[in-house]
Amino acid sequence: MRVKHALAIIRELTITELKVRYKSSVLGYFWSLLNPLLMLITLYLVFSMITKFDIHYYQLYILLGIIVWNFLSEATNGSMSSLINKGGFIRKFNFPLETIIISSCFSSFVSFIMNFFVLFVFILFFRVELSFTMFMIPLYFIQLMLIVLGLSFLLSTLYVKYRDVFYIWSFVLLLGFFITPIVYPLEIIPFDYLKYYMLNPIARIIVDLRYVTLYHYIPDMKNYFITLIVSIVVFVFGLYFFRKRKNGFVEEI
Amino acid sequence: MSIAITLKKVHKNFKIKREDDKSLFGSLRDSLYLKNCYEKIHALKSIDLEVKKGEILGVIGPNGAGKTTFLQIIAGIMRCTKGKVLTKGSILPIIELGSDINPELTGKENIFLSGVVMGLPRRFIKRKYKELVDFSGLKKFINVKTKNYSSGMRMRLAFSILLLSNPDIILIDEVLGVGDIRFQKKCFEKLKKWSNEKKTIVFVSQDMTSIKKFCDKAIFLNKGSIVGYGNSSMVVKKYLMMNVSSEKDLYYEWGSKDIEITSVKLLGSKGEEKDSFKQGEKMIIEIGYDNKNNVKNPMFGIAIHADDMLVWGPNTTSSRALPKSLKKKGTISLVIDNIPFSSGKLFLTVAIHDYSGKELYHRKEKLLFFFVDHGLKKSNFLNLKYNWVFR
Repeated sequence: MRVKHALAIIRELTITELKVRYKSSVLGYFWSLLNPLLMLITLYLVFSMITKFDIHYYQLYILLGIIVWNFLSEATNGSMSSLINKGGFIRKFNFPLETIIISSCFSSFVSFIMNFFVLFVFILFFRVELSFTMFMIPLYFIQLMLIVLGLSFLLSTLYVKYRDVFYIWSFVLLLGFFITPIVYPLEIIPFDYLKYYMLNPIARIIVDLRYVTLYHYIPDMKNYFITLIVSIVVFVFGLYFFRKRKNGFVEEI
Repeated sequence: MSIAITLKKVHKNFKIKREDDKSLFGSLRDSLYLKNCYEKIHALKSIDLEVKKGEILGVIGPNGAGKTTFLQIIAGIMRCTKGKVLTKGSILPIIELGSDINPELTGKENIFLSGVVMGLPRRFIKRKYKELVDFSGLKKFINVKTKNYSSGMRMRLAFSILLLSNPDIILIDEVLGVGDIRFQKKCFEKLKKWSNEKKTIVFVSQDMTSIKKFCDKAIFLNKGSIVGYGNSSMVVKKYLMMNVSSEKDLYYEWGSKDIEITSVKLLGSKGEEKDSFKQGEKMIIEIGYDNKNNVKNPMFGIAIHADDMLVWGPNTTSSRALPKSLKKKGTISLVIDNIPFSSGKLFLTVAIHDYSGKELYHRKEKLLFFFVDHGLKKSNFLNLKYNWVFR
């Protein structure tokens, strides 16, 4: 009964979130599309002027990175404030609070999927060959979603008490953007540091997603499982932290 | 009869951040020693209570007494710090009406969203949708974003959504005064229907009349503790009395004080001082005066108000009741053989003017409160002497 209630809430909140996001602006969904495209154009122009990376399908290379990174930052930022925004519900109804975070992440995930479809339009446009490795894409989505959920649980819990988290997290995201291979190739990282560089699970996910989406190459499955375990740990830790504190939310919000 | 709500030694503490020093430096210093600026507030202290199934419990008390916290803890929205809360059946909390309404969504979308969060299946809401819209009286606006609603309309929408569910326990927090008169009537009808269906209701209100009217029992919360429990009209009286003692010093007086009001007493039939009477009882209002400047022919008057309505205002001039000579110091008593009105809380004003009423010597505005209960079965406001005449 409790689970059914939770699922119904997740569904309803996700749909509402998307509706509100896209209904209240004139261009609606196109904003969430336009944003990565404009970023792509900016970054592409800047970086192809400064240096010439030897990357196949450089535009698509950047676009995929941006889309994934956008999902991460949109979902975590959205969830962070979602508890405060849903304060009206929290103070008056007794329902599982996890549903608020999950639905906030899901709604960002839906935009992410739509952006991925746009990526495929570009893939067809640039005549990248389609390959069976593309069927592996959802595997990486699972990792991504687990990490995003874990971070969102953690951040939203902290944000209820300390609004400072918002500023810290925007800094972390900015830093993360540059220590993740979004606009540059892995080759520019000195080999000795690469080990540490790839500890960042998002870097791993983006690199491997590019392999299966753009370069028809099956990455090392051992790494996949390591990243999967890391994502599960992040998720479980975030959820645990959230559940430990959620009874106090009513008073803080 | 089975028990629907049990509270055992329930405590609730809050940590509230004190922000005395609003300056940047102050807030920096506060955040450096995080612990020091938190103050512990005891919102509820050792609450023991049982509510039987089908009972209507009124909750009264001053602002900040812990009434909303009390409801939130019963509803399971908030956990208590210590103690135990047991409830039987599904609970519908009616708290902070309208805070769940999202202004960016239409009325219809809000109905489904809030309904689902409350725990109702979507299909069920669909089935009841038409009935709900009819009840809310918002048919014309149901597909309009709620940010365009008036605040009354928003409240009506929120309340109508809540009525979708079929709960066993209903918790109501000072919200039944929403909407226009027609809607209020509908709400009270719903409340009556619930009580006929033997649902358990906990009802927080500042409206003592409806507490007396609807509730079997009541609790009086003050500073987080139950200070009164029992029959609702008894508890209401206790609450009103407490307000009297805390408000006693808050009367106004003015005038030249050429002749001064030194004391005012309310006496019963045996000359004992009292502040609550029954309709039909004898009441004596005794006014002590001090004629310091030998005023000739003063006019004594009193006024009795129920809230701001003047109930009765006699004076000695219009009753031609003044003696030829007045003592320097003395008392004048107004004797009412049987009190014809009954209206809960009444306010007494006493004044002394000159004979014509032009010059004011001394006036004490609403310096006393007293109660008149209808001791009879019928709750008439007035009990007049009259005859039926047949011809």
